[in-house]
Amino acid sequence: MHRYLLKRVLMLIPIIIGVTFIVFFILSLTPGDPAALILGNGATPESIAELREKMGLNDPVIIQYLRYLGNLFTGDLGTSYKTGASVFQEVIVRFPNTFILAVSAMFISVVFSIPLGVFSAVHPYSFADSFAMVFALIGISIPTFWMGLMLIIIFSVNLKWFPSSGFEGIKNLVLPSIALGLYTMATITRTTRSTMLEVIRQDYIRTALAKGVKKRAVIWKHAISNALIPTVTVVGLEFGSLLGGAVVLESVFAWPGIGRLMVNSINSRDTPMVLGCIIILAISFTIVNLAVDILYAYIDPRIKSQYSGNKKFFHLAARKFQSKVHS
Amino acid sequence: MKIKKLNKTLLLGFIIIISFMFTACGSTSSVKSDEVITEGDSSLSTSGDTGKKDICIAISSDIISMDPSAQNDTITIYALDMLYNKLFRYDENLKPIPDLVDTYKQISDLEWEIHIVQNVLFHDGTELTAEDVKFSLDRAKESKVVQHLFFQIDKVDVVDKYTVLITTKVPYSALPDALCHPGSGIVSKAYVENGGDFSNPVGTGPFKFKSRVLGDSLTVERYDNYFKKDSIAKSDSITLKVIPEATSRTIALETGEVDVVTSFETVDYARVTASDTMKVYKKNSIYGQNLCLNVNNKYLSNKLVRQAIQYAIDKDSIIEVAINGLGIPSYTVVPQSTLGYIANPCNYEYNPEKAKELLAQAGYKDGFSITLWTSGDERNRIAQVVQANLAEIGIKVQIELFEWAAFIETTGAGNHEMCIISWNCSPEPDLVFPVLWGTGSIGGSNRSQYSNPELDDLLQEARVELDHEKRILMYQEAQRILMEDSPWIPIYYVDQLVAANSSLQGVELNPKGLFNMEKLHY
Repeated sequence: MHRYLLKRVLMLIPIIIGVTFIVFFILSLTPGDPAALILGNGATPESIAELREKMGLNDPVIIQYLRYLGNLFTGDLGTSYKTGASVFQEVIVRFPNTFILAVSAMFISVVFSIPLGVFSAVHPYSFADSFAMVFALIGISIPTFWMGLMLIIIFSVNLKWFPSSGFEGIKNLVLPSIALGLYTMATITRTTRSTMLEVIRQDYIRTALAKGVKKRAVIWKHAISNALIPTVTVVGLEFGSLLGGAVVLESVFAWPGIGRLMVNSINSRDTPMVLGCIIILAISFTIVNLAVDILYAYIDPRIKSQYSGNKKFFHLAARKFQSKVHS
Repeated sequence: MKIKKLNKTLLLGFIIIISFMFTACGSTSSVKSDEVITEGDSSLSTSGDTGKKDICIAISSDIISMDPSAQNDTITIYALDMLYNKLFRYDENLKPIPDLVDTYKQISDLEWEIHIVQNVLFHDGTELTAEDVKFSLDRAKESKVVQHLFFQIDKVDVVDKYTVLITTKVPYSALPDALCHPGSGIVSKAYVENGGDFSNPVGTGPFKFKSRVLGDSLTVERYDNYFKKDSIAKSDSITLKVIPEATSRTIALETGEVDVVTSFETVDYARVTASDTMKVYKKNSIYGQNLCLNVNNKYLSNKLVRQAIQYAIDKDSIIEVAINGLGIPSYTVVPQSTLGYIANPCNYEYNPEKAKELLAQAGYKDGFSITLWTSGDERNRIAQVVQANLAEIGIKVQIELFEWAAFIETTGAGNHEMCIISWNCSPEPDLVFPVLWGTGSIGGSNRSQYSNPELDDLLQEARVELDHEKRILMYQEAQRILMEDSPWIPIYYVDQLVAANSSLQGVELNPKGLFNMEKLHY
């Protein structure tokens, strides 16, 4: 397992080289000159040319990229074209904001969606199931910015329960988390329902019920662990997308997260800042995926056979899992 | 049994969530109801703000830098104006007035002797001297971001502790205007040279730095030793809070989370003006929208075609469609606040028949097809009305929408046929005419690719002319030439709008936006 973990962590190096290479070249091919944007639309051709020279933008793209990569491996993410500030400092301040938002949105989402998905599967094609599925459809269909604005109108403007923007405290976290959580909730509910439906039609479930095991125990102890694998995969993917994809909602709620920083940086062709954001997102996405893989072993001990290496780790993991199931 | 109970609980929770969503859907209409918006007396309400000492101002984007010479951004100016002083500053009509300057005189065509106010203290308690002025102006001249605004300054010499001598490369009567730019804010030489950081800036302004949360807010607090004793801030602190979404900014004002909204959008105007707790302040701005014609284009190289387009554009309709009627039509290339402004030098008006005649004279009786490049929502709305206007005289316009960075680059290179371009016009004509229509700016900001040696000569003469009245006449002539040749069709200047809590006092605007923020108080 340790070897597996090390392998996954080392995989980060080619991933980072890959994403920075792609992003760097796409940005260099995109029309729009960072020097012209910094100077504003009143800049003279001479001042733009001079600034380009100072910024090193006249060098071949591959040279610029290799220079960037060289600095990156010494831990230097560079300075922002736009603000002149250290990219690392800016990104490291913003990332926790996004992370907190993503975690709380995912928490709301998981807490509601898994029971809802299980409920729908246990009562398939009932009125409640249809209702839940319509709800899931609405959740997926409603644009998050609109949902955000509606929540603001109800809970900030009318009820005055929560602030409409900013991030001074936990109160500020509630509305954006709900707006984001509702979207992912819909996806997770649907996934949980469909996998659960498959599982509860399996022979071993029927056998357990025939032997007189209580329905609740069958569902929540035996069926759920088998049904959760695809759900956990979806949760991992959704969590990853929440980290980088909450841009619109970050704007609506004035949440200073990394998604907004990245989009603003793309608009101003601030290549070092975009790359800084991409690197931290790539690292976090990889870590989330790794966490999901490890979670598989906890949920389903059979998966341990896919891994090679430290058997003790998996033995412990399996025991932990079993003790949780039986407690 | 237990499962049934669980199911019931789940169903109940689910129904609550759904009901929230439907309440949300239903409440959109309530936005239009002023009673709903303005009612309420909870802690988040705007009522009861009297006596509040900490003012919060919503801005649309984050502060770029607190180093004056490291930015050229309209939002960042709000922060810099509170933290720093310059040699000169703009008044409410954008006329340069002394700020740190005590007295000044132009002692020769190229030399300006400036005496600065004595006993001005920086926020760290050190005294501001001529050395700081020289240091700050030299930084601005060398800055990669703002050097193009100060390129006419040749050198700055320290004469004595409170006097500097500024030498310009050519006679330059626009020097006081140039020194109003926030890029020339005076920083402490000792602080910067000793490794002082602009994340904790030290200036002489009416407010001193308190705290900053990147991407979220900047807070400054009153500076009690401010050298202008009659302008000591009336509030304890001011926070600039970043709220990128226009609707969210207005909502934050409604809920009392902020006290002032800058970059207030016209779409919320009627709703906010109808409210008792909020007020909108309005001023003619210098932010104009224009139709730029590339004179190298096959059709647009013909002056008659360009004049025909002048007559074909219905500016009043555009103002209604694009900015809900909150602007004034423009019939000359500069706004009212620019030196030498004349309202309509060539007597253009909306007259499609006249436009058709001119087009026929140019040999295009049946019109032609052409592309119009644009970027952003407001400019896109303008483009659609222009398209309809030109269709009336037989010109078929195809609109092409660009992302802003790509738009700036490609129109700068002159790849377009027509484009809609915005411009924040300086009150000093030398910072406008040569930049937009000078031959030297082709390939950059002269997007019309317009070159007229007669105009270039006139602008050069006006730049070095020291007689104020003669300069005015020269720039009036320049407007006549440009409107006659029509490489650029001015459309409108949008009203500068700032919304504020109606109890807030001291809200002052100049054509650039909110200013004199030290006067804000409840």
